[in-house]
Amino acid sequence: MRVSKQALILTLALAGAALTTTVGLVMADTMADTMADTRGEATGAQVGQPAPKFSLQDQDGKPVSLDQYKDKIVVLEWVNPQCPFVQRHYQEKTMISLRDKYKDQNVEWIAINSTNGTTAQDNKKWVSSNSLNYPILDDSQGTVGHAYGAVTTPQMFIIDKNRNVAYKGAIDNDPRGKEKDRLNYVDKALGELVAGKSVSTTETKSYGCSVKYAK
Amino acid sequence: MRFLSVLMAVTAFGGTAATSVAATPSHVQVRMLADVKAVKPGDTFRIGLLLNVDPHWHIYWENPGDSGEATSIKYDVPTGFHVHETIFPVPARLTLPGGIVNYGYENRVLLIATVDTPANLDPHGHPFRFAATINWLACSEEKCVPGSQAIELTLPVSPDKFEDNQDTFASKSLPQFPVDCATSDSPATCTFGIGGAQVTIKWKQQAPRNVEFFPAPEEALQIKHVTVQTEGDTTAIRYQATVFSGQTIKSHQLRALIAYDDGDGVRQGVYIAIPLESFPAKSKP
Repeated sequence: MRVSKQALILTLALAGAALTTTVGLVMADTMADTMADTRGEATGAQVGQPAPKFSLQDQDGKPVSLDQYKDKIVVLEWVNPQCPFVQRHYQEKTMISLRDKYKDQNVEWIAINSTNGTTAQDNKKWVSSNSLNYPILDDSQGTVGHAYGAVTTPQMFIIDKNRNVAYKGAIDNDPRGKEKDRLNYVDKALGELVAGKSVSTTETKSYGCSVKYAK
Repeated sequence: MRFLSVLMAVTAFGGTAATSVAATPSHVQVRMLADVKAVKPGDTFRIGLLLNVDPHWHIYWENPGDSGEATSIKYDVPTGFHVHETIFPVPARLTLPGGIVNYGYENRVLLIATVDTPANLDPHGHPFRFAATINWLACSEEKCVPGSQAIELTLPVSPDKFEDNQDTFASKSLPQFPVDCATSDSPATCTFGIGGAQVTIKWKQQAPRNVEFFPAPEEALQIKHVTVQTEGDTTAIRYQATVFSGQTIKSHQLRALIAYDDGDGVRQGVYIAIPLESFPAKSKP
């Protein structure tokens, strides 16, 4: 384990925690028959930390890197056209309407497809069939997906102008798409960022298909 | 053989008991069954959906893990009957390419619920129809496919209890149903350390092998850095629980399942309810 064997009991806020709050942290002392659950321990993009840099090719083979979006707020959307959760959001135009809402406010939208075996041609088809005005980057090797710790499609990351991760998690609070008053976390965070405020909900549990990484 | 016994039940109760077998819409085959041939006024019985999952596919526990979606069942039962919450058996921890961890079921699983039968039924009255709609997400390493099915079962009324499908409900080859640690039939006693970040399981008999910790769903809470350590007759489970900023915990308890292999190598489970209100309320420095 990474940390020393001491109990760090920091905090609990049962309601309305304003900060990310650590309830308890105790590390293993060693010894027999110890099993570690690695869920959520994968290194990846962390809120408040610099966003991992990347350079990938879009659906036309054009290189796209994070560096070229200087002074912009960047939304990263993990996408897999085969995933029913993604398909539902595209039928409902969740992503493109949000992209259009903020496109004149210095916000860039980039989709990344980390599905093993996907080609630029597959991504191109998805762009044209959905009339997308943002690129889909080919990460079929999974490198950028792992760098960000993306586990589901959809999964969202917002990178602020200082190149730090400002939000990571779900697109909204409605995995089944059946709630009447849905809360779109990305809309909320972007609204706060373009207004010069800090993001109030910085992390949520994403939902959807697992990212289909290579074995 | 199962089908044969169903046919016999139909005969015994004048052709009214029935079970339905549905086609495979999306990698899962569903069958509805009860642990009785007939409902007895004032009694309780169990109803269940037996799911056959295609090879290399899995469906999800109530907390799906890193990705996926919980399987859910909605029952529609006649007036006066009451269906309790779905009981999920012990899930498997499935690691997918890229280290993504899912909690779910492969092969076959029985999801059950207890049903209370009203006392004032005419013991010779008409049969009753019990309907269920199940929603699941089936995933393989390559793909996910959502599925849904409506299914029903008709049971006659009888003044006497006639058990049915006992071999399925008590099958050792299906995932087993957990017991609550606070009950007398629990194989262990469970205590919670200061701050709630440690659970101590003291086993009544020899400590089992392959102990795992499965937290139930709590959207506002992230459970990380779980370690499960067994020494002598005691298992210590430690973890870090983090409340996502801007979100609230809906419950005062964190429900979790401790899974283990019993002396016969059968995977079993114990439910615990970790009291969240016992955490010391301090603010972050």
